[in-house]
Parts: sequence; structure tokens; C-alpha cells
Amino acid sequence: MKTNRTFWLLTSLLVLAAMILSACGGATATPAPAAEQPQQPAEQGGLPKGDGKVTIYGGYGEAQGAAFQKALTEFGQANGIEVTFVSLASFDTDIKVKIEAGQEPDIAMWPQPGGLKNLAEYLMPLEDVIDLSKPLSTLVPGWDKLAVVDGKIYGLPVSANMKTLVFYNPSAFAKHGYTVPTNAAELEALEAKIKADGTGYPWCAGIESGGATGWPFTDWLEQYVLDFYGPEVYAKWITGEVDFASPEITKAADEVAKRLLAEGQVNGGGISMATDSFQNTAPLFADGKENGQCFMLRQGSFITAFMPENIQEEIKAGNYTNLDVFPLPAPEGGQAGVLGGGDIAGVFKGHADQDVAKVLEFIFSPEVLKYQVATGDISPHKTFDLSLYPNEMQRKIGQAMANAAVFGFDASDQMPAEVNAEFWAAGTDFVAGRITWEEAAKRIDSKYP
Amino acid sequence: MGDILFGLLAILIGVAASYGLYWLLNLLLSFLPERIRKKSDWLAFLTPAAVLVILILVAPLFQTIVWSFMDDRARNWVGFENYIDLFTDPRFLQILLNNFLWVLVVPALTVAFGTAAAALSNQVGPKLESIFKSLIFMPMSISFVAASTIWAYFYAYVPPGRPEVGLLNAVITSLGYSSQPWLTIDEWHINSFLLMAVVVWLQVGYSMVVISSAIKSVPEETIEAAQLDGANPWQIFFRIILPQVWGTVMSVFVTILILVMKIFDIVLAMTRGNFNTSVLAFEWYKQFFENSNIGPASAVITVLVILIAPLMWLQIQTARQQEMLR
Repeated sequence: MKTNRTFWLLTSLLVLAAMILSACGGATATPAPAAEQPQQPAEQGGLPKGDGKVTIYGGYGEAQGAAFQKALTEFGQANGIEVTFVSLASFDTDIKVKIEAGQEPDIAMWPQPGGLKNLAEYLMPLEDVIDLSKPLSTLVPGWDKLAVVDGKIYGLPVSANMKTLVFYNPSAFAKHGYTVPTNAAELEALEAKIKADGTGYPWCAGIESGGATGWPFTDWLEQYVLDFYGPEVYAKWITGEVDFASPEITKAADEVAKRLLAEGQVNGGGISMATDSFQNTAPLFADGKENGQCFMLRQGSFITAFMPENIQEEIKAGNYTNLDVFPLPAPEGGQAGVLGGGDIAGVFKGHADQDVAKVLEFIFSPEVLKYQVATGDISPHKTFDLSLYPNEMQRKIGQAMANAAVFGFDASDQMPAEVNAEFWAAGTDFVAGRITWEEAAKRIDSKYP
Repeated sequence: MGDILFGLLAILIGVAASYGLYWLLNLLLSFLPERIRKKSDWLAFLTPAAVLVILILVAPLFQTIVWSFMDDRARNWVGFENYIDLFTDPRFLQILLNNFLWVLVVPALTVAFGTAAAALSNQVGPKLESIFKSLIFMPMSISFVAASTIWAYFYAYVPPGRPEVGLLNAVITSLGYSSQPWLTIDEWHINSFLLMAVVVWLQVGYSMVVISSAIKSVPEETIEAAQLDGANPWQIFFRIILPQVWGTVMSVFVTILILVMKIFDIVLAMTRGNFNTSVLAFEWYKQFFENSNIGPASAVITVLVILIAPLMWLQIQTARQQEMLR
């Protein structure tokens, strides 16, 4: 009897031990096999050998993600690496959850450099993984300054988009005898003429975008800050040295208000801008003021993906009778700057191995975008083969990017996440006419630490 | 496939291990002298559950409270600064006001509609009753986010001239008024009330079903006695039926009250807290996940916990009263 008891006692102890072990096992079985590897020197040869698998998380839409994966698979097959791209629904939030859970990928791509910089403690400087001279020699200047922490580059762009674009409907312009404005005076004259003719509204300008409602307004403001004051003030504005209540930013805000919030500039005024989705491009192709027709849409290059299907078909076929672009004329007393955004990739600490390095080199090269350009993305590289762009319009946009002298990355995306969120929210309230710019500026400034 | 196997294995081991654990405890107890064992065996069996509760529920609560006195990254102590920031921020006071309005309006309306639906549906005969109740109960099967999407279309606003998609605005314009951007109107917190309508719509079914079953269990004799005494239907309802189901009504009320205190999904899906519709739980989400400010986020949630705690107590009290009535 006694021995029987001891036997059972031991067995249950074993079971208990198994339980504790399995509980611990669950906690540490995170995909970080290289977590204990010491930091490796810059040469790829010094990196540990990879396991043949590389995971990338990003915030791409469906079409972008598929095209990106296609390029990755092609590269992976040629190099014997299995590269998987996963798009997170709300990247900025989800990636933090993944990090907390110890489930971070090898590489992640932030749509906003601010988000990457906030998490720099989890990332490693790129120079410790790959030789940076190659990507840096082909990138348009400015892109390398976005994700710098303590003097080291933590992130470089993979894809880009451009926001200094005005989309318009050439056939509607032709019908009413309007011409594309090339300077501030012509733009104002055109706006006045559209209103006087009663043919529609000069601008299409929805700023609703779910949780990010307000960002199209921030783009407008950034454009005018960059145009009026150039990259210096623009950079100081991002870091908070020039605050939102300053005369500079206020002047830019006044310019936006003149363009969009003045009577008759946008269908339904500010309140309908605040509730109208930025994706709603249909009014650009409507006919007549009673149908809410608007004539110009200042948006990023990606907006073509939200155009009506028939328009997208036309563009694909190289038919520009119903949609074309022109650069937004600089305001009186300003110089035209190019504003854009893009996805910035960084690599997580403990994940650097030879495979990851190879994949990094590939995504920081112009070649990675050869399929993705079909979805509206453009390359941040000067050397990107322009003939790869799927159509004339995008080639125009891509060329403008490649030739950009004053390039400004979306400012709000570089501000601290909290400031950015308040910029969106207070900007929306300002557009909706609920508060003055003074009040909005005060609210945003208070979010700077 | 590997993950599934691993998960199944984990479940198996888990079940076996918990069985083994209690078995082991029992065994260990059996070694103790009879006298001590009789007095302490409840303690031995309670301990594992108590440890789990402390680990999973109590410890995070205290951690959150501790964090609320720390900075954005939860590294340095800042004293009461987070709380001072909150209560000097006029927008946070608006958030509190919004939460207060939610609590004031939604549980009361839900219970009132639910009771009315329950009482009326009892009068229309079994066939109609089941149809009637199914219709009212149906929204219960819709998730909060899906319901928000449906109602977002109901409230949708489009600029003049564009094809109308909002049902409410279609009704308004057909009556000759001009369409309104409903969810942006915060005079008198109208937009918050519009969000509340979604929750009332979702929860009336629940309140109706629970209260209806209570009404059905009211003894027939008491009603007959009242009828013999010449009471009219109103008097029967308010003087005879309602007092007898009051405990149920209160427990439904408190359940919905607590649900509403924590309301989050509706605000997230419909306005994202814009236009002065934010509430405490949403403010916490924004601070914690979007701004990564651990300290201030913890302060927000601590305020919420402090406000909910008395409600929990109230709920336990009503549950206890229910028990006593039985």
C-alpha cells in the first residue's frame, strides 16, 4: 500500500512538472531563435546563417500587398529563402501588440517614420545588418533622414507616394473651356471662374478616413508650410521648435482655409468635408453643380486606386480623356515643394541573419517595386526604370519624385504619434467649423511633451 | 497544422495536469493528521483557484493602478500628475459627461422598452408573441461593430447633390427639411444620444426576454385576486406584476449599466471619439494603443474602475436579494 502511494506521488509530481514546463514552453516558444545571438559586425558574412525564412509585416492594402509578395516570392525562389509578407489591419497598433507578445517579425514596414522611431529600442541600426552605401546612392535625398535615431539609420523606404498632385477631369475642363493653372494667380482665377459660371465646385476634398479622419487636411497644411517656408521651417515644425500657433503655420492654415473653407469652394462646405470620405472621388466625374460636381482633387498618387472602375480601366489603357494630373501651383510668395509619404522598413533586434540581410538589400533596391507600381505606388529611388510604370500619368508622377529637389516627407507622420492624432482630430474640428485655428493650434501644441 | 496539434496537446496536458494537481493535493492532505486535515482541506482546494484569480485578475488591476502614477513609458514616478492632467483637461471632463449621459439614458431606456415589450407581448397570444419577440430579440445576435456599421448608414450624410445613402436624412428631406450631418452635431450631445440608440436597439431584446420570463412566473392567483377586487389593467401591471418582478428588472438594469460604463466598440466604429463623442474606455484605447502613453492610459482606466466598483457592489446586492426571494 505504501509503495503504491509513493508511486502515485511520483507520477503526479511528474505531471505537475510537465504542466509547469509546458506553461514555460508556451511563453518562450516565440519566433526568436536568434534572440541570444550577440550583435554582429556589419559584413554579411559575420551574420549568423539564416533559417531560410523571413517574415515581413506591413500596412499595405490588398493589391499592394499581393504585388509586394509577388516580387518577394520571385526573389526568394531565386535565393532559396521563403519570404512571407503579412499585412496588419491597423499596423501601428497591431505591431505594438505583436512586440509585447514577443511575436515580432524579422522586418516591419511603418507607414509613418514617427511610429518606427518610437519603437527604435526594439530595432537595430541598419548599418549593422547591411552595407548602406548602395541604397543611399540611389535614393532621392531626404529619404535617408527620416528614421534616424542617435545618428544611426534605423529605417529606409521601400515604396513611396506623392501628394503634390491635383487630379482633374480633362473632358470636364474642355467642356467649360477651363485650362490647367500653372501658378497661384491662374489657380485663383480658375476657382473664381468655376464659381461664377455655377458649373460646380472648385475642389473635391473629403477628409473622412475612419480612425485617421483629418489626414487629408494635414497634407494640405504641410504642402503650404513647405511651399511658403521651405525645408528648414518644415523640419523645425516637425520637431516642435516652430509651434502650430506660430505666425508661419497660421499663415499656411489661412491659405488652406482660403482654398477649401471659403464659401462655395467645396460642396457642402467644411462640415461635409469632415463627413465625406477621402475615397469618394465620384463627384470629380459628376456632371453639373446640382449633382455636386467638383473640378480638382489634391491627393496622393495612390488615390487612383479609389477612382471609379471605368476610370481605372481607361487609365490602364492609356486613355487620359477623363483623368489627368497637374502639380499643385505654389502659393503667392512660395516655391513649389514636393510632398509625399511612403513605407519605411526596419529590422528587429535579434532577427538579423544572412537571409534577412539579403531580403533587406532587395527591398531597399529599386527592383522591389516592379510589380507594385501597378497599384499606384512609386519608387523612392532616382534610378528606378521609368518604363516600368504602368501608364503615362504615373510615369509623370514617378519622374517628379525622381527629380525632386525639395522633398518633404509627410510632416504629420513624422510628429510624435500623439501630436499626429491630435493634428488629425483638431484639424477635423477646424475644417468642420467647430473651432478656430487658434483653438486647434493650442490643442495640438499641448500634445508636445 | 502544427499549431493545432500543439494546441490540442496543450489542452490535454492542461486538463491532465489540473486533475493531477487536485489529486496530488488530496494525496498530500491524506498524509496529514485527521484533525488538521478536517480543518484545512478547504484551504488546500481553494488555493489553486485563488492563485489564478490573483494572477489573472487582481495583479493586473494593481499593476494598472501603480502605472497610473508613472510616466508615459511607465518608468518614472510622477505622483498625481496624470490625474491632475486629466481633471484639468476640459475634453476629459466632456468625456466624463458623455459617460454619465450614457449611464443615465441607456439602462433606463433599455429596461423601460424591454418591460413594455415583455408586458405587451404577453397579451397578444402565443403565435404573435413568438413572432413579436423574435423580431425584437434579433438585434441581439448582431455584434456591436456590425450594428455600428448598419447604423452608420442610417445616419450617413452626403454633400448636397450627391445620391442619398442615409436613411434618416432621406426621411428628413422627404419631409421638406434639409439633411443634417448627424454624427457631428454635439449641441446637447445629440450625436452621443444617436450612438446610444444603437445600444438600446441591441439590448432591448435581452431585457425583454429576461423580464418576460419573470412576468410569466408571477402567480396567476395574485392577478386574479386583483381582478376580482376590480383593479384595472394599469393597476394590475404597476401594483401587482411590477413589484413581483422588480428584482429581475433591477438586475437587468445593473447588467446593462455596467455594459454601458465600459462602452467602447460603438464609439470606435462610428465616430472614433471625434466630435465630442469619446467615452472613458475609448480614451483609454487611444492613450494606450495609439499614443503608447502607459501612465495616462492607466489613470483613465483607474478612474473607470473606481466608477464601476460601486456598480459591481450594487449588482452583487441585487443578485443576493434575488436569491433571498427564491
